Amino acid sequence: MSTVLEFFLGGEPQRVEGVEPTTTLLDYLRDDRALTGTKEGCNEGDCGACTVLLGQYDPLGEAVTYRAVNACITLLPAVHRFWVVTVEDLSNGLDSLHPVQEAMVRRHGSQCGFCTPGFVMSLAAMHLDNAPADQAESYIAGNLCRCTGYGPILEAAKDSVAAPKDPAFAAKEHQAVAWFRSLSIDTGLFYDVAQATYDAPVGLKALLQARKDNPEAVLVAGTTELGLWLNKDLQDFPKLISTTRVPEMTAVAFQPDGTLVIGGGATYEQAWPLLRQVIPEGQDWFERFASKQIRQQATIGGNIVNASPIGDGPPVFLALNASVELASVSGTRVLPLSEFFVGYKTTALAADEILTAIHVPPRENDQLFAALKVSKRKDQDISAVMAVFSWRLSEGCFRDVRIAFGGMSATPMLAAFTNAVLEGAPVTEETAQQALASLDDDFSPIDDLRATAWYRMTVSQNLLQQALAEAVETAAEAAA
Amino acid sequence: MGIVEKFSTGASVRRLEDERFVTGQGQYTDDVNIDGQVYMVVVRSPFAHAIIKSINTDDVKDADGVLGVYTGADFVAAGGANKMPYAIVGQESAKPDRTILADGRVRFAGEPVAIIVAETQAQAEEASELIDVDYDILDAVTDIESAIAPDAPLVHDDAPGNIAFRWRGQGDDAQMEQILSEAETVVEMRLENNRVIVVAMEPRAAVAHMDGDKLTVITSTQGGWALKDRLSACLGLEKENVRVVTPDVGGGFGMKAFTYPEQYLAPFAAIQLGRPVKWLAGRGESMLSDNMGRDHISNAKLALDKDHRITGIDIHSYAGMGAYFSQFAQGIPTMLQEKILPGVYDIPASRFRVDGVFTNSTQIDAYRGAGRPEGIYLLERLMDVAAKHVGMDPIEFRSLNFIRPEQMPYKTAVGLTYDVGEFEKLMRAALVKADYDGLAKRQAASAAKGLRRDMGLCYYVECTLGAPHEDSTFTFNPTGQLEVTVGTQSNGQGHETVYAQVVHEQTGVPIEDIVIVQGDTDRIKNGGGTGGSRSLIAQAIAMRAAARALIEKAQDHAAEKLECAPEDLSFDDGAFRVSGTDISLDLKTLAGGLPQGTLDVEAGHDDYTSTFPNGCHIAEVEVDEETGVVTLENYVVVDDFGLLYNPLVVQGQVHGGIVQGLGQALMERTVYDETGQLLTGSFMDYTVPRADTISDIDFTHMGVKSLNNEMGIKGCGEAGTVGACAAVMNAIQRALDPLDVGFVDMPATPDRLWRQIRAAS
Repeated sequence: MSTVLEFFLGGEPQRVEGVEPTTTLLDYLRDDRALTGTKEGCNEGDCGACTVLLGQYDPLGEAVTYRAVNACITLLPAVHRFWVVTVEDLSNGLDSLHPVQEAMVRRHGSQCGFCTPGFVMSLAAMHLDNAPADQAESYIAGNLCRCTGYGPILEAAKDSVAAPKDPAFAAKEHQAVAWFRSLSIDTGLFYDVAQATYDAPVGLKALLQARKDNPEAVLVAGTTELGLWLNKDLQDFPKLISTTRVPEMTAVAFQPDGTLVIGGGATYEQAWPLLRQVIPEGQDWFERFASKQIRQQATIGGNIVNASPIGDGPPVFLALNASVELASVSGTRVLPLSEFFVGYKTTALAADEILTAIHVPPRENDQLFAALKVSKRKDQDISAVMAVFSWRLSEGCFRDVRIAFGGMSATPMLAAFTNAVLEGAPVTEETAQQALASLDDDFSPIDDLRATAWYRMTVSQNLLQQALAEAVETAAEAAA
Repeated sequence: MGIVEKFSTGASVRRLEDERFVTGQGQYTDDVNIDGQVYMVVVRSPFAHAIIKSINTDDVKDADGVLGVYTGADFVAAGGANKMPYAIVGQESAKPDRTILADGRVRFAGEPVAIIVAETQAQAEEASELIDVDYDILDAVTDIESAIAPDAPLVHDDAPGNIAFRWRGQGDDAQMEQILSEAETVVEMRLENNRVIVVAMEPRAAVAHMDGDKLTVITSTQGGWALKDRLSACLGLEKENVRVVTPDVGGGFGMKAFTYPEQYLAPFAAIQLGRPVKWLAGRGESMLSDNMGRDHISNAKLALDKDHRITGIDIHSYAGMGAYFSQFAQGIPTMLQEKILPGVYDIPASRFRVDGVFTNSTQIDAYRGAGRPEGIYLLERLMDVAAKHVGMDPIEFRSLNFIRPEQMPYKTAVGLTYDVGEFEKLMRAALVKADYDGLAKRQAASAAKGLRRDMGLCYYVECTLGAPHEDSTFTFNPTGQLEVTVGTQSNGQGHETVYAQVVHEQTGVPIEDIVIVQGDTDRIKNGGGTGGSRSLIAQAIAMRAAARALIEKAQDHAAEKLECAPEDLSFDDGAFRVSGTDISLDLKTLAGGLPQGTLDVEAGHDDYTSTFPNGCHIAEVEVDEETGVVTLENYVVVDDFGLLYNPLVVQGQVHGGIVQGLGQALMERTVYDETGQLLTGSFMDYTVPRADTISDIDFTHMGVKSLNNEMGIKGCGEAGTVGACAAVMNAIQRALDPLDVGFVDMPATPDRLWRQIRAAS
């Protein structure tokens, strides 16, 4: 087990001790290393000025894969055994620009320049991913610019897609690969500085033991929420346990019976390629889930355990009839997700338990699925209402009805009364009216900054009305 | 594109600063670190209105790493003048002190109460939680209408009714009353201009240090000279002992034009402690304490004769000030807004009155355009309202009332003289670009999808502003580069590039050998700073004068080198040429052969006068009446900026300015709760445009050379923001008019539109 942080930065292997484990990657880069190209614009993962890439080596594919992350809410110990790529790494000085930098200059994608390194890194991620040009907007959805109006940056993104791989960057990647290959086998990290610990065990068993031994510790993965508690609430976290080094926790796979098992530590981006096979209709929901930077750090398990009433993930999994696998050293239990949320930000998770997986059962061929997010803007916004509809139409009746909402109550919740009204009922206008009326029995939403209770209820009813109207129409067509 | 004179003018030269910016080599204030620096945190009032009964700092002093804690009383006891400056413009005005640190009473949530300095940022932040301030909470009022209601809580005891000031501009009451009574039609409109948070991507910051008797403050500004003078007065230092350095600036938009308490407090702490002191605003702190913009409620009347010609315009506005007068807060809704109120129309008479209003909220000051976007927004909405009222097409109504080219120079009702302008021509060009003729067809296609589609137009005129004086010095440095000092301050506008183009054009010195030196009050004696779209005009006049001085000074030396009489030399195409021969000598070569400093020159002028950029914005929108969602389908702008130096940079200014305007029009809404807490204090809750907000902007330049400066140019930095709000709001209003939704105010959020649509149906 390593007690020292090892990572690759600036063309050199790094060994770090003595830096507090709750130090963010951004503070480390700017304050400890004077790498000031990475900027602090908001310190809460909203603006993307601090975007850096984390490179990870895949020994099977013999390739480095990259993800863009917000350095401001990434803890330094989380980069253990990664290559941290900053804007300073993209070119060899002012005279040899990387293709995305060249495109930004040519298209006048930079004005004041403050947000520019973050955009450059997001575009670099797109370039390295060989992403198609039409994904440009998605790649920069997590970056804010107040000067350019974005048009020139989108143009630059499109230009750089066609650009060849940069030889100077390839050489740096080559160095990084040599370093990756020189690493000994990962036996986990126990990083302890000044009475603060960051424990990142490698096996599930070790993780569960650590959880049992340290019930007061906070379990972390992407720290997209904890980063805010640190930076904005100035909270102390003397003991952290990370799930990110546990392979079982990050696995995403279909079981022979068609159940999709998503490891409790898998990020949204890691899970999506397979989850998309279950819910291809969810593409829009996925793209509107925070930003690329956040989706590459935030885990589905964390999103569920956090139990926020307005999380965009939980209503989807409620409607998919997902279960959660809760494990401790004494055993494993599987609980329907609907029973997991107990109250406002409280769950059925015991002090020694960890959410190790989410089980998404196979979907019936004729099962409707729709995930509809209502928020003030499209990109990177918190929902006022998150509505998810799932049902089958069989012999003129609603079957397997699972309607779930976020933003409508203290927890993400199934609309139990409404689901009961619809279950087995004929697909008619009259049933639809009854279902709409019953939403009032299910939910008493609150007024807050994002929406009034009245708005939330009305918009929820409208969304449901539209979905039911389509169902009635479909049923009528089927009958005719 | 436009008028192109010499090869370096009108060329889209790549920006010289970009290579620095895209590689992360930009140096912003927070990127500067000085050995031994310590960190300052500002303790701010959590309440919008309260009496401070006592402040106990004992626990703070004992906290780990704390070096100092200072309240307003401490600041005064140490000799600091606890007062922020402001200009009075109103004929009647309250005169409340705005202190640097609170003096017994706080009037907005976020007002600075004390500072804490510690060895680390974390220690300073932790210590800030230990300060014990005993507040006696008072009722607060945060919006204009509540503030002027009878029995509203008073923000300042000496401002009854919360009226901060009363101002009236030009125009005669009796004449206006007569015009209104004799008019065939009087159209009335009430309009709100929503309060916006400026949001520069680089938060405000300062690093201050003392070296002997000399104070250096590194801070993000739009020109550091005013701060230098005020620091000297506030902290009792000799002016020559104060140096303000402005490194790269991550956006200003007017918000960084004026001084802030922290720019006095960090230097104060550095002096007290003998250590370099760094301060960086967190994002939430920026949103809470940066000067905000706009916040007006206006009632306007437009008088028309029987032919629908405008005979007069009469406006009364309430202008929110926030809790205190910021430095130029009074001037913006009054004298600056008035300048362009008649717009591009032949309006014989105007009356304009403004009442400033105090509320328990963050102070208001300049935001991109400062008064002119507000004025054009009001006028161009009023033009559409009037056209509708009299049953005219808004295009033809504008056309009927345009000032004609043959009327130029034209003196407006508010006393400005427009030099040139071809408004009809530009509007028609914009309509062609926007395919006005195809609108009906597109509307039908949208209607088939259940969507309402329409087009909105705004014809804006800008009046560029700012100090008339500017200087420039030229020095060939030992490496042969020409260093050019400037008194303006780039915040991202690309000055380094465009100024180099100007100097290159005049001197022939290659662009790569020109170094623009800005943002250092020790190297540059005076500067008017950047604001009001003045920079290129004011600075280019100075640089061109310096270039002429350089050539004149160089001529004798060149003659000596070339062994000819000075009068045999001409300066053409970047070099001295001996007439009748092919012998030439360029300035760089000449300077390289002369003792250092031989060719140093300095020039200044007071010749900058306003220019009148103008143009036509056309927005086309689709509105979903079921959801209230607006999508921008097309945006066309045809601008007249006279002659262009760098079309690439100009287009960037226009594009960015328009998106800022669209942000205000479509989404940006600043919300305080009833106790005065800012609810929209983060990027989650305050919606600035993101990459999905905007479609392409179709920009065309049709320049009419300005007669008000020797270059023929007009300022372009604010124009996009000036024109955008009205264009998109007129489009939305037209799309919804058939539903009789009433007047639609900004921001046209889906929520607001949906409510208005429901209320109407």
